[in-house]
Amino acid sequence: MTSSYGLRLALLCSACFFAVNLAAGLLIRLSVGSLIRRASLVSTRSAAKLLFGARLAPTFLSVAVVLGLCVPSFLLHEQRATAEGIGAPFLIGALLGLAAFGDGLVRGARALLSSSRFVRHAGHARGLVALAGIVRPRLLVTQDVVETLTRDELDAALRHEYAHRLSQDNLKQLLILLTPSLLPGWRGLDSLERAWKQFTEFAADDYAAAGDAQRSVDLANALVRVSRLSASPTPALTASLLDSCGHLEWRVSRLLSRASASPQPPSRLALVAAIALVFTAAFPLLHPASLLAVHNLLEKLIQ
Amino acid sequence: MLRFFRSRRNQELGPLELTVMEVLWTSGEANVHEVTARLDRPLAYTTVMTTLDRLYKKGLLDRRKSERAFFYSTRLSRDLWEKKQAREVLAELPSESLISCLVDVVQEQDEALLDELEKQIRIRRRELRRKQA
Repeated sequence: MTSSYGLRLALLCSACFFAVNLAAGLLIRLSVGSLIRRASLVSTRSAAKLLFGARLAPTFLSVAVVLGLCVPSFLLHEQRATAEGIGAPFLIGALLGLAAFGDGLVRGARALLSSSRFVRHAGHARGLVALAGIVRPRLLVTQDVVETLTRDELDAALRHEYAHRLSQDNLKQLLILLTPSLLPGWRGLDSLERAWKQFTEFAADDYAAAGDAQRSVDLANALVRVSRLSASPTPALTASLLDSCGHLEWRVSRLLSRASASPQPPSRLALVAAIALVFTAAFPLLHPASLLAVHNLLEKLIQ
Repeated sequence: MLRFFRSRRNQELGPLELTVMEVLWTSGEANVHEVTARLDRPLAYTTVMTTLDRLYKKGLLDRRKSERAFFYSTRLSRDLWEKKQAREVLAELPSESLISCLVDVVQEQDEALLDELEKQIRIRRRELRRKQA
């Protein structure tokens, strides 16, 4: 099969993205255990950031490689006039890349739809304390919760939701949903996503408790009392007081055993990620000859 | 299926770990010396210390340092721990049809779990009130 210049560039981007995303994703998948162990050594907020960064790392790395290496090498060294043949493995890689992208987009769109539908019908829900929405998150509290909780417990529950708003957990969840799967139909990093969700709940609990033993007990009691209301299930992109991962007893035990929130050391994750991305982007400028080598390699792969 | 057996193996406690947990569930908070003394068979201090440390790292124990010794206590009551184990087993079961047969049992356990958590909260509230007084 032969293809035009523009089509070759599009297929190249898709195939490279797919290959780097899959390789980096598998590496992250192999190190999920050690990542979670490391996360449990730092504050819950930093842990959530670390796991979120790790979840998005394959996508960011793939974008950096495509934009920093593949596209410049193609634009500089590929001849416009010629039509070149494309090998089947390369074409399959490109199609898998497109399918993985589509997978993420469909997942994100579905989550947005179900979330907005849920907000519209939240009046019929039971036992609900949740933050729904991305751009302007709305706090949803049902009447039965207001009638069940004491003032201090409700205050603790609302502080928990406010923590989710401050850390923009719904937006982060949407980004996670939008990230292309490692393979179409196989996200590959589910355990990392579950661990991230768990640490966001712990971080919100710690924020709500603010190191105050009384507040911790109030929040623990609020969790148990809302559980007794047989809360309605909440869709994705809705940060509920009761997470759907079944960590209630763990959260209550944490709140009762920890009188104070763990300290929050500054996170260096963003700095490390920024340096890595800048280095990837600057690499072709520092070593222009490398683009030719990259182009030659890609030529072989395309065939 | 392999994943199921693997994860079960990680959660299971060895005989000595279980014995140490029994001691702590019965007697409450204790240091290494106290746990060693309460065991029904003579064991080296270092063996008990290692076991307690392992249980702490598994997240089953809390510990606080007082002068030069660590005092260990269980994070969950025996009842709660057993329920947690049962829930984890159910969660790992590969067949949805099997799980649906057990839904009633799980709901009963959930109620019992909430009762247990409320009991713990009441105890903690009493402790806080006592401290404030």
